[in-house]
Amino acid sequence: MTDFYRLWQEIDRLEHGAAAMAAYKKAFTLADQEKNHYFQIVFRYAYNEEAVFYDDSMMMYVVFPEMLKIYDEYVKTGNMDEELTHDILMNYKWVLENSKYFHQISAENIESFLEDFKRRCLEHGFSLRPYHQYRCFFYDLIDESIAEESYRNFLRAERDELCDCEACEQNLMVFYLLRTKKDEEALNAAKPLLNGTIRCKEVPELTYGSLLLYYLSKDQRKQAAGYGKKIKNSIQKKGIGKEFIGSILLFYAIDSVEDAFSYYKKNHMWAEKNKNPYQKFYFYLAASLLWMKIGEKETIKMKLSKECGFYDPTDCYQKEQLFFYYHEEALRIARNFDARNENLNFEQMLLEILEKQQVMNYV
Amino acid sequence: MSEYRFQVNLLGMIELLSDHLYSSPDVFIRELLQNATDAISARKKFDSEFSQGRINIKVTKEQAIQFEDNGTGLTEEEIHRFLAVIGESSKKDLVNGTITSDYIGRFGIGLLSCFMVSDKITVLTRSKKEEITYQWIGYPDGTYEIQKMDEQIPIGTSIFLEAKKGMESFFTKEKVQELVLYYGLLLPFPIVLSEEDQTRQINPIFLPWDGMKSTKDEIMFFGQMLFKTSFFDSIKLYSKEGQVEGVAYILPYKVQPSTKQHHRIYLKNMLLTERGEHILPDWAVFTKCIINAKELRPMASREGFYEDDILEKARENLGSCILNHLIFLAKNDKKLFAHFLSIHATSVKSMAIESDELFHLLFDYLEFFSTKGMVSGLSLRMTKEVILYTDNLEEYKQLSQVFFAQGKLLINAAYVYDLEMLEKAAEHFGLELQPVNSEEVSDLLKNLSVTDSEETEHFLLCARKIMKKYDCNIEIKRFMPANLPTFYYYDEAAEYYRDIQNAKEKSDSMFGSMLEEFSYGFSETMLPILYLNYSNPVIKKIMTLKLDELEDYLVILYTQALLIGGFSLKNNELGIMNEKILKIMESRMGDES
Repeated sequence: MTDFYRLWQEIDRLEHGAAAMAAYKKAFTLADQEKNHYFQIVFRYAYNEEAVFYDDSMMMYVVFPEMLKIYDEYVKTGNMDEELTHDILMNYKWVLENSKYFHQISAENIESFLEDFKRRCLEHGFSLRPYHQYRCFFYDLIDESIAEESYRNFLRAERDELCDCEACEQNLMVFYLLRTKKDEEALNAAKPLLNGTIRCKEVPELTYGSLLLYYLSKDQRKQAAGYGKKIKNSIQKKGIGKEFIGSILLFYAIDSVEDAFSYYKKNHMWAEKNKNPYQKFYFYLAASLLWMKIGEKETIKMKLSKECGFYDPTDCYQKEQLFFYYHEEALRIARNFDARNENLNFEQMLLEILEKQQVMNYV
Repeated sequence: MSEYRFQVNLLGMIELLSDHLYSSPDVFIRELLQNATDAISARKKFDSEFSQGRINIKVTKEQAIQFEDNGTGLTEEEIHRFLAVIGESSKKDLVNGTITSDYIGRFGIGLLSCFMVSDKITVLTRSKKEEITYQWIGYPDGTYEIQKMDEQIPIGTSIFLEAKKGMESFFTKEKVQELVLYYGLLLPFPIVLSEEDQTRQINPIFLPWDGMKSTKDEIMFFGQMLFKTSFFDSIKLYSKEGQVEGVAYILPYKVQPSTKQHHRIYLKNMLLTERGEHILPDWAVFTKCIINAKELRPMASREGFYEDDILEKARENLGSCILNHLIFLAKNDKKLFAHFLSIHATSVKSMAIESDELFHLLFDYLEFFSTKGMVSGLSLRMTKEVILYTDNLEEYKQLSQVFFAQGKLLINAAYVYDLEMLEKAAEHFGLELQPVNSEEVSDLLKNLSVTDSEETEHFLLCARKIMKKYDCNIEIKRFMPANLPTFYYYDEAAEYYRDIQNAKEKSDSMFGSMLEEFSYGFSETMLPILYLNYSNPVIKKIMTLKLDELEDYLVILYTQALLIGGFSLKNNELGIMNEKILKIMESRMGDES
């Protein structure tokens, strides 16, 4: 029998991200072989936590369904563990939070996840605050009235231990208020996050990202640059805020082609390897704008990674070819999102930004 | 409409402070030191003849403390204003209401903390502005009395406290000395403690990092005394922004990059917290520091500073001090620097990613894990070949035995910051860097001769057909080591495809359609490959088997390769392997009988 507690401690010492994920994957495989239900769930939870916060959230969608099934079977045999229930619901929250970023997940799927999550919360006596929160978060892309109703329900519902921390909730409010153009209210809500009164592992770093896009949409470049710098620092030093790499490139593509070129070279492989289409979309949109604005040179000389899909050993790339590649990819992703969301928002945003070379709305 | 005023219950307020604002009753010493320090600063500012501040503390046998300073003292108006109005700080400029940066206190609630340990606060004070001594006595019920004294005291303030029941332990000489040194170790004027006939100064009156006063050894000794650790080295810190000075001590042991170091932070020479965070850049996890800040803004809870532009700039400057010191070491004391790297390579790599200068200095000294043992940055820089790497630990484990057996270099870049360092080296030194992929792996595995290929062709077709249902492709190659019968390899895309197929089998309908969408765009070319080693005698024997036996052996080899590689088995695989083993055993036993 494996000493899973010891194994857990060992893995816990590893660096976050790919290394820890590989170790947790081995650990839950081992727990599967030994049919240790507790660790089958616990190690999967830890794996998903790493995927969501430090690596690629898509991998969570591969592991979560089985984790949920193991838990349900465990409960059916008469076992009920509060800690595992909490883990499952917490992980379910990550599923709900990230679903809007994957066009592969249909609206019907997301609606059924939401309802399943709601049923489980009620069954275990948890507040529906997170349910309303993620419903708002998803419908924000699709139906403003449902989003608004969910937002009000979210504010009214009680807080409990399943809810996000105060800082994360406040950050979400800032995001939603900016989306609904309540700028003053949003900036006021951001104050305690920015002055450090309320903070957590990810906030205010994520708030910097929202404010970067907000000030970009107002064409207030100096403020946007300040938040861009902060989020860049956070990515570099803490690994938090990688989802804003595309937004940072977008800012540079609008503000300074030179900076955008340099930032593109450093991050193009991040975008290529990324499985999150929402993050890819922003990067590809920004890259399209960069190649559109790069200047009169027809050929761009740069050293790209050999893993890159359009790598050329001569290190010379046609400007048009680059634009075509990124624009086509951005358009393909935009259409996938629009098909899922049953509107034309992504495609319109792409066209508008490329045409006006400016962000017109907070996105 | 009528207007009413809020009533403040002082007892409730004290309870609030002790329960929620102050971490322990011992903070009354901090507040007394702080008020005395501010009074001395104020007197220095307005009295040109005043040269030396001083605090005298007397502990009596009757469990009382007299706390005396020779600061500016209070006038009658100031007594009413500052000792009796909560939230009114004497440090406020009376004209514009702001607090100048010379003072530590700013919230006007400090003296209240004395009610946590005493039921009565007696203050004797004489201001430089009027030559009258006043006595003020305050009680926790919110009442106070004030009277002019006949006897004059020197300019300054004396505070008398008597221990209330249960708080006697705070009124011993040992405890008072411990607390005064804890909070006021860096105060730049004498603090004299007396009990009965014993009187002595208990603090040093200069900062250890101040000018040329301390040698390196003294600074190291100071750090050892303060943090109870023998440090590796010390670095003086300074930032003009925030007026921050201090010393960073390099830890003598490895720390994880995610570790949070707690620093000892002083504000205007008074301890703010010994669990300070965010004062140094996050990468500086290998240091523990003591700093004194004059112009950073403390939070009301006194657990740190407000995040603002000054703090951010100060943090950057302090980071530069550490960087500059390491650059100096790298240039001037290579032996010590190499020793430092052997302890703190991970943290240093994270710094080098940010600083090109440091990167150039230290790359040669860094070591990377590889199939040729630990290779240094220098040897990588000197190599003319393409440097293959993988940032996936599992892939490294899979490939290393083949690379090792053939004397080929493969770098394990799965460890934190290694990949970033290699990529930066490629950019700066022109290193030919390439992630290992299936093509390189194929290059290591030699193709069969034409005759061998022809002989094995039929077997290969059959084997591929059998293994297709396990989502696995088959190739026959010759490779070292010869005793390795199979080599199961899949790259990231194949791993992902296999994981999704696995998850689809095990999940219910709610997630099934989602997983189907996720697998869209993956093809058979992304299947993992089981390489059979033609140099291995077992494989050669397997090739001679009849078709009905072949599947049993192939499946066993396949599942064995998965288990050895630590890969997760799909639902049916383990069961099938067991079934095949039993079948072979039964057949062999049947033959023998």
